[in-house]
Amino acid sequence: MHEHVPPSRVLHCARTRSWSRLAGGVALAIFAVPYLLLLWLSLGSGWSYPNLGPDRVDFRPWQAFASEGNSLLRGALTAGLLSPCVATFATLVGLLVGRQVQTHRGVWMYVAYLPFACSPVIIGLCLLDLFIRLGLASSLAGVFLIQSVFASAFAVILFSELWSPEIGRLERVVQTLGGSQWQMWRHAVWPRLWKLMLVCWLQTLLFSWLDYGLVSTIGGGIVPSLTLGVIAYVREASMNQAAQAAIVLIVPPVLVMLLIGGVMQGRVPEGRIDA
Amino acid sequence: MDAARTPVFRRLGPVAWRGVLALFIAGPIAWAMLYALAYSLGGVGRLSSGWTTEHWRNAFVAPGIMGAFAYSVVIALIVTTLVVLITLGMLLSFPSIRHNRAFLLMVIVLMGTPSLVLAQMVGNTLGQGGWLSRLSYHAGLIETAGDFPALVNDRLHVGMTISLSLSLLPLVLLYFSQLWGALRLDRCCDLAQSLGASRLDARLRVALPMLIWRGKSMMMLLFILTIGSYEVPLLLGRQSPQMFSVATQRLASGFDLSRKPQAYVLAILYLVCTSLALMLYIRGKSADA
Repeated sequence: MHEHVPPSRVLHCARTRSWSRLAGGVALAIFAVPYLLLLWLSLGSGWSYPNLGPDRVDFRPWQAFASEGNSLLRGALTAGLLSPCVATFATLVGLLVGRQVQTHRGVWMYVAYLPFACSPVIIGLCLLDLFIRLGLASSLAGVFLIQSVFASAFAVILFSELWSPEIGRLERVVQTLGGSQWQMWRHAVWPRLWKLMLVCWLQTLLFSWLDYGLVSTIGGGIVPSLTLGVIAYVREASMNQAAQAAIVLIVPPVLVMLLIGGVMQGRVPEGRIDA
Repeated sequence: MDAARTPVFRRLGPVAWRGVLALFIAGPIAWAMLYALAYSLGGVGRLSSGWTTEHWRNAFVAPGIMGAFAYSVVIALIVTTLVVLITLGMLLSFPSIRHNRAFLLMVIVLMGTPSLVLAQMVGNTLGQGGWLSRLSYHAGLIETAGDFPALVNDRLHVGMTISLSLSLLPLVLLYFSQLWGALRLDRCCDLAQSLGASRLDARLRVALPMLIWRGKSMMMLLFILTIGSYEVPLLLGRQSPQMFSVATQRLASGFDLSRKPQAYVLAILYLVCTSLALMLYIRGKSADA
């Protein structure tokens, strides 16, 4: 990092390192409390007032979750099937359109950003009438369509922000050397872009997995979803089921974020950071 | 990519991507805006009796609408300020935190925690029947759950502000730490110090203005993201006033159908507000590039 670090600074670093490690450990321990509490609550039933944990540890929420016909399990399976479809579709749209948006910018950029900035639930409410007329409301197809709109917009932004002009130059090199369209794609675009495609796919996957505003309006409560389950349980104050549903909901995103963190090696997964 | 090889596709290319953007992405949003406008003016809707500006005039008098508007803007401003202050405070006091493993792990896990679950965790921890309240009870600080200060669904919106800030904090922390590296602020501070500035001076008068200047568009984005938030206010907010999304949803799907047009008045207010903010954001971003 620093080629010419003054010696005093090295000493200073060494002295502060143990302190920063201690502070980091303490912060991590405090940070973990709400997550562990969630896990603890999900293991039992009841949570009457002065008890720090659930009244009985009987694994009932998990047993109920695993039982057949559980609405939460159906929600998880539906979202688990739906989100890869949305993510694949959105990544393809982003790949094809994002590059053009980067070269043209202007009003197209604004268009691409619009769904990203708008609250999904408000847009969902305004589009509900149209979806009812088209016969798509309260159906999986309708939810897929509306989630794809938002996810595609996100993918377009991601690709337009992070598409580097270097790829275009490489493409020209391959072309000049007599490469076919496929070779251009294989040797110029793919090696530079696979990480970005993966990140885009994962991010849109998460968007669809975590979506509540769209699935609650367009899905109309008919299309099952984990997020609907969490909100319903929290509202009826079933803390244990809510905690269990939240854990199912939270595991994929945390894993994905750790994966993205690994893939990007410390780079920010969203938005362009000028280097 | 087979299709890309055919010349037809190449000729269609410029039309195709604009078509996809216009129809698939701008189309639904434009339809939503026009529908909301038409509904709020009485043009559509089962109970409507023709075009009228009555709902707009009512909306300015009815307490829920303008209240929701002002309230959302205020909350968004508070959350944005809070998140930026915490981020800048952390980075300026401990620039080396950017390389701390524990810190990075926390940021990544927090980034993977959806705001819905964050709201739930804040409720579990800070609520009157929450974990901290139970701890204080066992420590003998309070007698009943009611003695614990209301921090969730409360008048000052403490729980909501905390959840919203926590959900945006990782994004902003990562952005500003990246910015710190990209602007080579370590070297700038070193240079300032070797020219005789104190450490405090170097950070406050060299690093801080550069971070704020380059982070302007990020702050705009924060404002946009907060003002449209839905799950957190839904779980931790109060009945009134409500944030934009919650108020719109309640009015649009409530039992009182006569108030439904007002939901769309609110939707239009929100969409106009966001569009303007978005315009500023994009302008700021292109100026940075």
